[in-house]
Amino acid sequence: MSLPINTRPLMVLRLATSATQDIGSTPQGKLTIFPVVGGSFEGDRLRGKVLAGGGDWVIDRGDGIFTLDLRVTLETDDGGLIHMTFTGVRDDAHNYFRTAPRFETAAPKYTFLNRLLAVGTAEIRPDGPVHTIDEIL
Amino acid sequence: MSSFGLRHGPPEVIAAIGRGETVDPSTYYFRTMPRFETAHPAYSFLNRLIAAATAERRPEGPIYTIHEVL
Repeated sequence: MSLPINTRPLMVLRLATSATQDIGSTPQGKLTIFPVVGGSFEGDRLRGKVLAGGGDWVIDRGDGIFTLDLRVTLETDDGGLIHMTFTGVRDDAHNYFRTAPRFETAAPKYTFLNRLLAVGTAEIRPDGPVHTIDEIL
Repeated sequence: MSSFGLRHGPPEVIAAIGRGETVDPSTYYFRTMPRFETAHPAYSFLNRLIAAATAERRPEGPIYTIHEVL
């Protein structure tokens, strides 16, 4: 009756960011922007680099939760461009950092990305965040 | 609660759903990512989680099985 949920690995994504833009306290919370200047991603079905120009808009809601709103462009090792976005929740007190990525691409080899939903688990490492992203089957 | 989702499958399956027939949900892809916002203290845990759902389009309406992403 209720349907189980299964996943399979899609990619591990590493992001490099430059100095943050600390917007400060706005009506929505404390906003910090993390400009994305590079990075890499790798999985069985796709791999490549993260292009500069994206970013992550992170809001400290004030209740212990940071919400994430990311947009980046991925470039596969064979030249495909993929627009990736995610929203996410980070709760350091509970060691919870999860995202809901989405993909858009016109590259024929990667159009399967347009048809899937995904979940990400993430961790903050000294050299930047690492996102492990799984396809929802 | 709000959600973004995708539903797709073979044309004949999607057509059968469109005709209001009961279709085996394993024959098509129907998944959503729900988000919740509440001020009710008993349910504030919903403000702090990411969720994913498997869904099924039945003649009488959709049924979503919603899983918290742990």
